[in-house]
Amino acid sequence: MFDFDKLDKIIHEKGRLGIMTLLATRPSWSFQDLKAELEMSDGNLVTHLRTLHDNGYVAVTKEMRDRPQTSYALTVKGRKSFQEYLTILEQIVKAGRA
Amino acid sequence: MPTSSEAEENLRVIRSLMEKATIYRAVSAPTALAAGIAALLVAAPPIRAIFDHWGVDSSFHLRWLAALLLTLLVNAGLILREARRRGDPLISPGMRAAFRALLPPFVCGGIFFSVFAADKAPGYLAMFYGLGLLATGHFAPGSIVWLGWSFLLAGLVVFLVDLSGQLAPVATPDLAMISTFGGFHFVYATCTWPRKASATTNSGPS
Repeated sequence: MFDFDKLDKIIHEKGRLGIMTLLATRPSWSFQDLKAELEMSDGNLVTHLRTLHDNGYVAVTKEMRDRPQTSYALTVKGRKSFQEYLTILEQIVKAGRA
Repeated sequence: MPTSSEAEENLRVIRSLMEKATIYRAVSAPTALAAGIAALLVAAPPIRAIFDHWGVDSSFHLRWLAALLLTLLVNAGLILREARRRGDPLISPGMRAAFRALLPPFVCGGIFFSVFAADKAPGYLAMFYGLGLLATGHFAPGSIVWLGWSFLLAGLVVFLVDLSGQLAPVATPDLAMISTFGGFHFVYATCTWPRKASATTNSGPS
């Protein structure tokens, strides 16, 4: 039987789950693209990204192109945690069907 | 501990977000607009007169090849700009997948277009172009699939009408090309033009 308490509480929040999902699809995402895709307010997105960054799941890169741009990417730890989170969700679904 | 239905809902949200984020639009609205304008330009009598004035062959095939190259050039510029803005590599995984899907029908379309006379070419070109767009359907937005079907059906109609010998009295090859290549792209550009400056997809330029 799987230990469901292993479900990552940081990822298991609607807003952060959306961010982690998008970050898993590309090497990096700009703040504006994340905001447009998730339709979140600046404040909400910043708060969730800070939580993920503080827990070592997301790396932040600040660059100066035509204008300052901040981009975000999953860290190795973040990618591993996201994969584990998916595995546990699948286990829960399977357990529910058994 | 979340229930099974909550877990299923979360997985559904994840799948849906991932699919949305990996959509690739092979023809963006600005590219479609460029295609429409190029179609009008190459068929316009003043442009043909300029071709003739310069002693350049103004045959149907060359003029429409010029329209295609102009459209491709605009598309390449937009893709480059978008890749720079995102900080992504120029050749993204989405572009690679689109290229693989588009290549076979486009090569066949190119050969048919080159080999057949002007009266047959519009039908073949529309059919193969439509097939190419439809081949990207599994990672393209619905509007591309609609555009693909429009070209395919129009190409089939032009082909069948031409087979029955009824095309020539109704439409010239230029008119057929303006209606399909020009007209469909104009409609597509109008329908898909980004409403908000921030609206983006993981795609070619939008």
